[in-house]
Amino acid sequence: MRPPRAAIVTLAVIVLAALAAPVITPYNPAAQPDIVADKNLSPSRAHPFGTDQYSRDVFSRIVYGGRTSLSIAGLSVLVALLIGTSVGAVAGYAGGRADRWLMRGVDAALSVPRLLLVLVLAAAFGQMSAAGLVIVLGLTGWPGMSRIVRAQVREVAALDYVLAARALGIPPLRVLLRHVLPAVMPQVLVAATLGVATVIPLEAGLSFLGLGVPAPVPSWGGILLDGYEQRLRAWWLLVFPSAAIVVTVIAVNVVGERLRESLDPRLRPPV
Amino acid sequence: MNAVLDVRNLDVTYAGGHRAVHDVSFAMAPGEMVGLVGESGSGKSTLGLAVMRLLGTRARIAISSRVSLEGRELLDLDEREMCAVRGRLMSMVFQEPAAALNPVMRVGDQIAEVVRLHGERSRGAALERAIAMMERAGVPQPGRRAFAYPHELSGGLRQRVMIAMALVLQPAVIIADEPTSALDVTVQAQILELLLQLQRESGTAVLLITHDLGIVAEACSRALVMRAGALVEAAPVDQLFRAPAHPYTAELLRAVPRIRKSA
Repeated sequence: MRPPRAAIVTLAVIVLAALAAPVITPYNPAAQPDIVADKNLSPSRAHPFGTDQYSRDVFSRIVYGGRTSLSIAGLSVLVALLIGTSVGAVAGYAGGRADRWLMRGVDAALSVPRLLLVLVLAAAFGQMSAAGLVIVLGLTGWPGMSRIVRAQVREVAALDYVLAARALGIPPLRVLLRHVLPAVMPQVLVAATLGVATVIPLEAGLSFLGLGVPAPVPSWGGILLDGYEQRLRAWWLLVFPSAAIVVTVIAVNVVGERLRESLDPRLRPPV
Repeated sequence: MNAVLDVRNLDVTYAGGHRAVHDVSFAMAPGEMVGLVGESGSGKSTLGLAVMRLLGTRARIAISSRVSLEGRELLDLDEREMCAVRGRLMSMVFQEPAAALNPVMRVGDQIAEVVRLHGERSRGAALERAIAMMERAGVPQPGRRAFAYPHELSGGLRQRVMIAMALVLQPAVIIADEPTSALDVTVQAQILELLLQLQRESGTAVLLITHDLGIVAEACSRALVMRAGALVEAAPVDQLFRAPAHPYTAELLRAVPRIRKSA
């Protein structure tokens, strides 16, 4: 299979840029050097993505914003992954009553649109820290994850080698942890990758609505919010942060899809 | 007879009402090899899984059933106690060695895991015991093969590993569910020979589930014949082949293209 080289490279560049933000950015993302003379400058050699209404360098803000947005997305998916895997694994492996109760809970959680749930939680907590966002996005993300894990666990648990492990006296929890979950992990990682692609726009949306990380910290949605008022005067304030979001989400999706394809048993050589 | 495994009135019903095993009683003496034959769907495998208490939640064992292993009543044990029985006192060999081994674990580690679960503290000692058992099970170069993954081994070797895994703790009883059916004919004979040899060496009683009467004639002292969930005949092998008491047994024997005289 041809690796999605362009997507991997793009993603790597974005992630590395976020990690190396202090090194590669020409300006402090929060600095307002001259709020009168330097405001809303169009892209130039000095400011490749222009400046905003407070004379801040948009390129620096987007790179630093990537730090915020990507780490919130990554960490919240990690939270969702931990909860979702535990719940899904227990439900799928135990079956019976535990499965029925847990999955009805998941059904209930999934019956409320995630955006609505996130908005309600965000509104309830007021201005939130990055950690708060991670928790809110993580707590609303695990039900979907748990369904995927449960389905995979049930499939693997029906395999002969799991029965064989039980026949040799290996206790249930150990069978689950040592023999079932490792076989499920690849699919879970694919789900997590695609989960990141869902969380990035969600986080950007929250920030755009003013419910994201508080003001001086740049995030992609926050930059969009700042630029929105200036949209008729300064196109670069909308185009560049939007592009950052769109390009990242597409790259993550492509990588995730390719991962999924490479794991599809129908495309795998027989064992 | 001082039975090592004594099954009384075993009755298994699947959800939906299908009665897969119907009032089956039999006993096995220590070190005995007993064949359990019958056509597909006759309840042989369900019987084996029921004795191991490995049926899922969709199958129910009747409360009047009794399964005692070395005098201990297995149906009264909870899952934790059952885990201590499985592998150590009674274990199982499956039909498809390719499917019955964890594909992402080295085979030596899989055997060592069983050793460690049942008491061995040291990782190294467990692996040594695993390698020694692989050698007894006829795996050439066991010290090297222990670090192989199942897909790197041939079907016959995988089954030897599976047998090593089942026998490493010297259980009193092994239930071998079609242990040779998925293998080439030549390998079948070797695996059967191995089972017989290990059974003689360690005095393990083997319940050999198969649909192959040739194997029963070669390896077993007694045979149980199952049909539609019920035990229709139980007899020493030579008597069974010479003068089948039940018409179904006679029919089974006639279904074999060539009947060999048993030794």
